Amino acid sequence: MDKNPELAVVSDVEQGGGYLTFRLGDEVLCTDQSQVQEIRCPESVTRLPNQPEFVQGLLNLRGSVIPIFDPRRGLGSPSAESAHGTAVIIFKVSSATVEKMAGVVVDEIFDDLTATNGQSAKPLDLDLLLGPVLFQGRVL
Amino acid sequence: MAVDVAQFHQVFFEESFESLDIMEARLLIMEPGEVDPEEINAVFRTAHSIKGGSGTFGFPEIAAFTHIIEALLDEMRDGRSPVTSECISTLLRTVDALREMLIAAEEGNPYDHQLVQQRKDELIALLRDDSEIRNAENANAAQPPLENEHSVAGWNISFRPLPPLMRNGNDPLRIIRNLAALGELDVQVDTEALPRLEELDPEQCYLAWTLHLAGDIPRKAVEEIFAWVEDECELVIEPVVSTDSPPQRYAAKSSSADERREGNGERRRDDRRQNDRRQGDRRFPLDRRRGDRRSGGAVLPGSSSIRVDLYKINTIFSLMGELMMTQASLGLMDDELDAEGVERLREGVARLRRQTQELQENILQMRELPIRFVFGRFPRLIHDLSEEMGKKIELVTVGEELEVDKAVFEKIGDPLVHLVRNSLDHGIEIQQERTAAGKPETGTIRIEAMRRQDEIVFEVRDDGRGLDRERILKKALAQGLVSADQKLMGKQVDELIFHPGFTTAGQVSDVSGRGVGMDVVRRNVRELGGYIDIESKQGSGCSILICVPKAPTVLEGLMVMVGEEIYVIPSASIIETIQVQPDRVDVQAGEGKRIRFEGEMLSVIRLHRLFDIENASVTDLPDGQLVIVEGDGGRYGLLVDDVAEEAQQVVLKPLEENYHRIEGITGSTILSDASVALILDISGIIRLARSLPLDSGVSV
Repeated sequence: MDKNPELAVVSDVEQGGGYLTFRLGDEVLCTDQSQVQEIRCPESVTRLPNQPEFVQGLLNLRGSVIPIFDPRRGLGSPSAESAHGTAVIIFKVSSATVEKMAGVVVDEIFDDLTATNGQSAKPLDLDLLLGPVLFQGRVL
Repeated sequence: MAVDVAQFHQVFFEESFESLDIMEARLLIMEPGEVDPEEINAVFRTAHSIKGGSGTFGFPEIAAFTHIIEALLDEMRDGRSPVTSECISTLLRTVDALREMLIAAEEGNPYDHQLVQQRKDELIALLRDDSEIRNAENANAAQPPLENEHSVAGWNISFRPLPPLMRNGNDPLRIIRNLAALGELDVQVDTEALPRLEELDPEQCYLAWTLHLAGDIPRKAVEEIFAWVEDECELVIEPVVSTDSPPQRYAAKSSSADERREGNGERRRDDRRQNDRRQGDRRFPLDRRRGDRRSGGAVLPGSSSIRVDLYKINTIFSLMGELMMTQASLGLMDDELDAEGVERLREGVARLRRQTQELQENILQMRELPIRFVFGRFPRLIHDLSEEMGKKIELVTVGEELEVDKAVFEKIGDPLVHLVRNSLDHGIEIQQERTAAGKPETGTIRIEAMRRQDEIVFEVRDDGRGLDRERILKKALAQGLVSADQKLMGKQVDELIFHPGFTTAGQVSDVSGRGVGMDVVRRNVRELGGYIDIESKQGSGCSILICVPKAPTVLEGLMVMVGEEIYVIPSASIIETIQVQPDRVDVQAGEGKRIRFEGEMLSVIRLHRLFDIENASVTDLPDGQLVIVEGDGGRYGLLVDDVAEEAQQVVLKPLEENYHRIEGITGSTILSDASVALILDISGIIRLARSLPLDSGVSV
């Protein structure tokens, strides 16, 4: 178990504009940086009982307990190719009344200068991905 | 507007209990001999307000009883009766009897007539001039008891309002209409007092009525209709009955009561009482609260209503206003959401969030009450018990103004009383023993409430003999709570007193007995998410600390391991943790379905199967640790790999903050190594286990 989660922070996403582009399985996706709290290395999490397979578990993020999802699991896509290169994006997701945080395991994150090999990035619909599970306790 | 007096009963009871507390507190500090009449007057006033209230709200027996108390206090005030310690003790016992009567009335039960009669006799014996009381009592005895009133054929009511009745917001027509709603009403108006038209003041009431209400209607129903005007009219309510029972006693309203007293030649005193009554008697409960700011608030044990400091309500009120303004300003901008508009929207939302949070904090504070209302009962307790046991004891209370959450407030009283009783009974030595030990003759019991970070800490400390470990250990051995080969060190021995089966010989007295053990103290504290700590030094005293979270989001739990997972089981749900012994397992049904515990067969829930945990090291009964838990579905044994030595405090982090609820899980907490552990909801676990098919092997 990670004794000091602070050390696991890869980068704080800077405020102001721009998109974050990442690879999830075969897809290249992008998301508005304002929705991203931070990016972290994969850490060990606390398992949640009787939850869908893509729910990896709970993480202590500086005192907040947040869920970590691995969409690659349970979707038939190959499980984490390797620990190498994968990352966790911590998203901020809002509903009408509350804001929650949740982490999503991704395969690769492209920084501004990394070429995406000509693949065009699809915008990620965060509400569609995380909204139901976070706010209604349902899974799409 | 029809007024249902019953809705004010609760307020009457609360105020009466408070009056009793004040009466008690004042009597306790009263020294026999020369007493400042003002001190007695203060006690008199509290008694008087109870009497007035009980008359108004239809408890004539309480009013009659309080009347005797008043008579004695009146004599004491005038110096006609000496203030002796016997007098004070009798009055204190009377306060108890009165409290019993009020409790009975509140719960709608009959009170202990014998006890009340005994107290009455004691009071009357102390009276110098008991003629009035004796007459009243005799008259009382001659009356049929109130319960027999059901046979009335109707009521004759003489209602003569005083001229300003209408000016004070009362309407005779409404009263008459309300009466008519009860039964067939015959109304005769008396216009004799009506002046000539040019002299008539339209705001004055010149009319009087003679009313006949037919039907078997309870007196209370009739009186309630007049409850708001009783001081502004001459009112006589007489039952129409076939028997000749004299109606006067029931006409307990001001005018007729006067007439009766006049007949006893007690005019001087009655006049003064009449004045007292005018000032103190007629009160609108809501108005009075307004004048009560300093008290902060008070609740009764078991009462679900709460009195709140007006200041707190005002704060919430103004916050509510701010919130509504924010909402209004947000509502204005829905059309034009340009860049500037978005900025304003953002600001508005931020403001909304801050205000909502502030509102929440203030509402939480509204639940807070000063602990002095709990501490208030200790002077009396010490007074009575020290007398009874022949010990000299000084009580010191510290931190009475500390405000605690209502949940804490309500649950902490009994444990504290129990600890104080224990200190008195077992802790403080008798005088000779203290002197021989070189201690001051007077023992000290100190009760303190303090805030320590997010905890409220209560300490009950005495300078008595401390816990006798040798004796405790012997008892525990004799009662089979520990085995001879168990090696218990210092504090571990002390903690045996919290064990459910533990009793000491001295508990036959009703001082610390009452069938409540220290285990109940601990359970109450645990329910608040708190814990208890003992510091005892043999020969020089004992201190027991009760620590509870300020707001109950911290709870005590025991960590258990299953495979690589760590779970926290709330201590409040745990009965005991046992190492399973083969002879306690019912093996008849295969691998061991059930376990024998305290004569009961309990089903076993295997957590690793319920939660589908890999690598559990224990899968079968005789190997693992079994946590005996109790939830909504009863008692179960929870099979886990390993159990932590001691329970610990954990801060509850609800899963809903960033996820959603999961059945069987109360929430999460962060452990000392910064990892997250789940807190089990035992009732939910039991539900889960029961909902699964039997052959899944979860609950074998």
